[in-house]
Amino acid sequence: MSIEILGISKNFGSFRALDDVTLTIAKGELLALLGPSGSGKTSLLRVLAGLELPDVGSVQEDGHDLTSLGARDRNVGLVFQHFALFPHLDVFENIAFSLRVRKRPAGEVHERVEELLHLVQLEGLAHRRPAELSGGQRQRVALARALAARPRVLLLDEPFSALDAKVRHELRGWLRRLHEELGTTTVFVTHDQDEAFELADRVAVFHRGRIEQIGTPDQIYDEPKSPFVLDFLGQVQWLEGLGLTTLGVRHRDVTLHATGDMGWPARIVRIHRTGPRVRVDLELATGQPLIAALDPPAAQHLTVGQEVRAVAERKYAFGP
Amino acid sequence: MSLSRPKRAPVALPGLGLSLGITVTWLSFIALIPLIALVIRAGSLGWHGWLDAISGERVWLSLRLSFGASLMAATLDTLAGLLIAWVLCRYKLPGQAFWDVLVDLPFALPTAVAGIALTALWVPGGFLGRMVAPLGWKIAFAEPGIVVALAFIGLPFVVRTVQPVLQSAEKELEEAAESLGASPSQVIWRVVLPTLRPALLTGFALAFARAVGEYGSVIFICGNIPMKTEITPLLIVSRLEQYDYAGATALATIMLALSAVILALLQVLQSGRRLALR
Repeated sequence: MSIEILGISKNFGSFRALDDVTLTIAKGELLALLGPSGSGKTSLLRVLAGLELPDVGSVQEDGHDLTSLGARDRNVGLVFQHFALFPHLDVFENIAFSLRVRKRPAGEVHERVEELLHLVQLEGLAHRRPAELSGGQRQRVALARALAARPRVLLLDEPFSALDAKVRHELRGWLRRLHEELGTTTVFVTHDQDEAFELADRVAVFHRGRIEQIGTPDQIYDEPKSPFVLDFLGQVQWLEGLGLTTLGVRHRDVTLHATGDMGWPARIVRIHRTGPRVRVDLELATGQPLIAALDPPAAQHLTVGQEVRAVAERKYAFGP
Repeated sequence: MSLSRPKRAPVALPGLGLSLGITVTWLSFIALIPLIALVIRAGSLGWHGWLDAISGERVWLSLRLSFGASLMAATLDTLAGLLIAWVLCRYKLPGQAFWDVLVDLPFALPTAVAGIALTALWVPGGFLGRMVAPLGWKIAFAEPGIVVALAFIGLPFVVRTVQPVLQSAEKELEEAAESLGASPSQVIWRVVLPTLRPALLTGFALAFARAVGEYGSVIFICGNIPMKTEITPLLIVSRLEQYDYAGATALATIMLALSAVILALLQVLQSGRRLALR
């Protein structure tokens, strides 16, 4: 069961949220929509959920046109950024909601909810209200609620952004395992590249309502197709006037050599530790700044003011 | 040995003592002391005198009318107020600000003016009275007139308590319900109304309390026919006019007691479900 998004455009007033987006989502895949805010990724998710009607284009599933089908009839599981749990219902009834509105028999509802509580490891909390749960627990309730009616697609909007760093990392691994277990086609929106790369089978990078590049995490990281993609992935320095075009150099691709005549002559301006790496700020002979992110042993003998040769092991140049 | 005061745990917010003192003093002067004076004054009648003053068919009928009409008016206000708040919050109306201000008007209007205006509209020959006359409905100078006046006075209380809650309500809750397969009416009944429940109950309680105490607008529209369209506040005033101060305060105490019981019941209803869970 694959989902095809064909030539979708969506305007909000004069703002073009989606600009002729075409994309195929394979059955069972875990796809990340990555981009800065306002790039169109959430709009596309809402079109997929049936909460937004595109101005142009269609959404098809195995040849069936879903475009004008409302959210109610799509049977997609949707998880919101801030979870949107029903505050007046306890965990059990939140999860049971989609079964209750379908008027399923009580026994079946009970069985399915117990199954989901077990799946999201919240067995003991069935009768708590959402307000009495931690962020991570709320997130898991939201996920269980979205899965209750066995949706064909699971859609997650910035699922981890409202959580603190540690919980976020735990839940990422857990979601990945859950996806492998259930095999539900899953699309999630994120502005966090680490999250996209860690979780997804494929990543679609959004920019100004268009898909800038789509591919596996390796393809996106190793072969960024545009300056935007390289820049968005971060830790990159842009150099001008060293060749015909602007060059992008990743901090981690710069190595420093005390001797020799490779690369560019540079002077060390500042050295400081940033987590697992050491960041060295350099000034090239041309006056341009360059940053090297080194492993601590490689930075051991460097001093501020030292003259070195900076070698870019990999440079990215983009044609006009 | 020293006489030290027990140390209190430090409180993050300073000035607890001062603010508590001001609150208690202020409430005492404007509410508690007058109410106690009322009870003492009624007490001067003695038990039997008090019972005499509050019994009799005329008193009973007036109490039934006062509380019955107030409950009906508050119910109408809750229904209409919910709709009005919904429309004001969810739709972009032409002249939005105008409609919004209009809601508050019953707050500001002298109630006598409201009474006179409503009477003029609803008398059998009036603009609205003419329309319902063929149906055999009598509004002004009858019980329905009282409900109309009380509903007018109480409406803003419901709108103004529900509106902010609706405004801050997450649109996402409704979208979540929709994507989980809920029909529009299921979204309303299972998600929107339950989340509005506390605000609706508060609005109902405020409109009811206001209606029970209302005097000015009702005396113009109801015709003040003893045993028929005479509300308790009017009976109190007529006793005052006959210099029967103790008799008037006796009636006031019974109104006070009934109002307190009803408001307390609403309070329990509002927090009841949460308490039951603990």
